[in-house]
Amino acid sequence: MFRTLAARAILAVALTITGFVATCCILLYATMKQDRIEENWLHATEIASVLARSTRYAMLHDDRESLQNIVANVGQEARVEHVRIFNKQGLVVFSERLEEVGQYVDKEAEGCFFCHRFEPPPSSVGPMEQVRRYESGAGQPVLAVTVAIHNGPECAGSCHHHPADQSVLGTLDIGLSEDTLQRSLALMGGRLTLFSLMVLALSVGGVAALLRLTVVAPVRHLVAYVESLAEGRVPPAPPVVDELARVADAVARALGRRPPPQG
Amino acid sequence: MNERNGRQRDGAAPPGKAGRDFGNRGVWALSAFLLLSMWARTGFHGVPSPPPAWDALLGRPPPPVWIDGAFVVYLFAALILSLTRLAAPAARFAGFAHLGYLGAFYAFYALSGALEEGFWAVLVGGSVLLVLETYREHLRRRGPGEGE
Repeated sequence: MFRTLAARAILAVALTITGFVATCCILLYATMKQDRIEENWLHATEIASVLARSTRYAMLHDDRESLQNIVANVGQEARVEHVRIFNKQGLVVFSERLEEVGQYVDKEAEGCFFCHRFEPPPSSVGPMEQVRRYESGAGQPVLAVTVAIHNGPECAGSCHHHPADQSVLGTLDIGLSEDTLQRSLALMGGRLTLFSLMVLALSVGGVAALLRLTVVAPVRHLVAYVESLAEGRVPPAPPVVDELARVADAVARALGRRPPPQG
Repeated sequence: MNERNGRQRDGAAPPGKAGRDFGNRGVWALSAFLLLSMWARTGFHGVPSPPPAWDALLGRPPPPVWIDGAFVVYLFAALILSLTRLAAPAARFAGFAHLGYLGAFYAFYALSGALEEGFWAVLVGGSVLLVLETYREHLRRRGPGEGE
């Protein structure tokens, strides 16, 4: 297989192009995937922040019915997997799942542990540290964000019983389904694969055709010409490529045969 | 005599048993790389995490995108060099050097926490590179005059 000129010339080039394009596509896909995931994280933290702000007025007025309605309505969104608000002790005060209300969350759980491993816990963390990913009971990928509900002069000065030196009053926790993101990534991966295959076919096919046209075919023609001379048959027209024509001429002279006039 | 010395200096060997052994180096390098990749796939199982003092000494690892860029540049240069060496039968075998470079890329990805993403790129790129080196060894073992 590796003894023919065509195999030697084309195989290495095809292998090189294939390997390089495939590697670049893998790296490109990994980078694009990471960008999309980070973008999704930032979007999720913005949604959580907006939701926390939208509950602030009701919290200041201790309007628990409005707060529960806000949480329940947001929880009805198809993309929202869960939404709940719990106080500093970890007691779930509002949730779109009523059976959760009144229960304590586990401070050792992944979403809580990042802050609660420190004593005292930090009052604020970066947007990426607020995010966690896990699989729901149904096996769906979920992106969850926890946002601290901070104390402020208007909170401590209003009807609330929170002391002014308590920096964090509670936490809002919202989980968003990642189904859309996963579908988008799968579509992007499929398109990238298709594009890579097209580029590969075009480049490998182009290089192979060019090598065949400019190298393999003229050399085969030279071989046929020299074999005809050696066997005493009427040779085909001599090669037209300058270097090969000189070889053909030298072989013809060595064999003592007069090559047919070139024309 | 001088010619023979020159061939030895370049790492080439005459065909025959010695030539076969020499040519098998490509297969050895490829096999070692596949074993290394299997180990890397486990997240370098058995290697302890570097102590905090090392972290403080070495600083933060480079971002994965920098490693991606460096790997693409390395792979491009290595493939071009390997292709050009196809035309130079006496050029030395570079498979084991590439094995070291590829292992270093696995290590960098692992330290950056991006081995999951970088693994397949290093595996595919490294395999192609080492297959090309093995192919070059195969051609050299057969000798420059053989072929069509």
